[in-house]
Amino acid sequence: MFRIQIKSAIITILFLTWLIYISNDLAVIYADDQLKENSDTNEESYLAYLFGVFFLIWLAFFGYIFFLSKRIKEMKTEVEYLKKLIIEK
Amino acid sequence: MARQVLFFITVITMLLSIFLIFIWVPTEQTLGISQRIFYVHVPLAWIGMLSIVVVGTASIFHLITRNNKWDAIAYSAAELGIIFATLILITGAMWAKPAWGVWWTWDPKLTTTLILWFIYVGYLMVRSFTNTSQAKVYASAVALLGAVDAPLIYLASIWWRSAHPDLNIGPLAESGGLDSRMLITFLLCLVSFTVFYIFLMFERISMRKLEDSLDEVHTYVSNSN
Repeated sequence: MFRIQIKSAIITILFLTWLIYISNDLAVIYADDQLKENSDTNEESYLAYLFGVFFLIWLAFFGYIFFLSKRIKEMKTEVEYLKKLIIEK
Repeated sequence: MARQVLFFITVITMLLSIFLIFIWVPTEQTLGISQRIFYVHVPLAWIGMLSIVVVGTASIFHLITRNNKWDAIAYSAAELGIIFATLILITGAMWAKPAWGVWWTWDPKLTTTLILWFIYVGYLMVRSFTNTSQAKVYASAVALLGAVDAPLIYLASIWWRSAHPDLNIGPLAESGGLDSRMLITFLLCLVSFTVFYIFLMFERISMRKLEDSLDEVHTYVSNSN
């Protein structure tokens, strides 16, 4: 299950990177229009906050999934250790 | 099988919601692009509040039945809850800066959310001291306190003067508050985060049960030595 998750994580990161790449272009076009209407609005700096939010959220989620997979590995090691102990008895 | 279906739905809805947020949804005129943080911030807040209600409810059932199944649900929900609560505070701060000009203000909604975060921390701290039934009872009391905080967070902007926007969703929200495309994007984000939360809950609960079983075997082996 976690192998599927890691593959999906890679696909999601690639998709997100692509979106960020094209959104930057869109944002520049959008920002040009906005600047004509309101010179005080700094949309590009707002984009940094938006991307920062997405980056942190996905970092937290993947970090947590990594923690879960690590814990499963630890438990497997514990099971093997306990099996050995019981066999020795 | 159910978990794989949940995971598949999560991936599809998450990718779709990212596309909608970045490309499809119109930009709000006052807050600009930073308003798009709303589509992830509010679903995170919803899960953060839902999770403490799950912790509280499961704790009540655990206190009544003393069945470890309920304790596993409560513990798993608390662990996930603290992740979501932390993300609420971080994303909230990152939205507050462009919207209000400050990272943090002692607004009632922000303050009650911070209290929720401390309640999650308190619950997990009590649980980490020891795994005895007494610790589980104390932790359940903390969880019940947290469950009371959840409606306070929701109603904070109604009861007290708040810099937070008016309610856009839920039974007390004003109708027609959101543009139709904004509403669709928001609802899809809400569904994707909720399905993701359910998937993580299933994973964590089964893992918690395994941890408990391992503890029992450890105790058995050490006692038989």
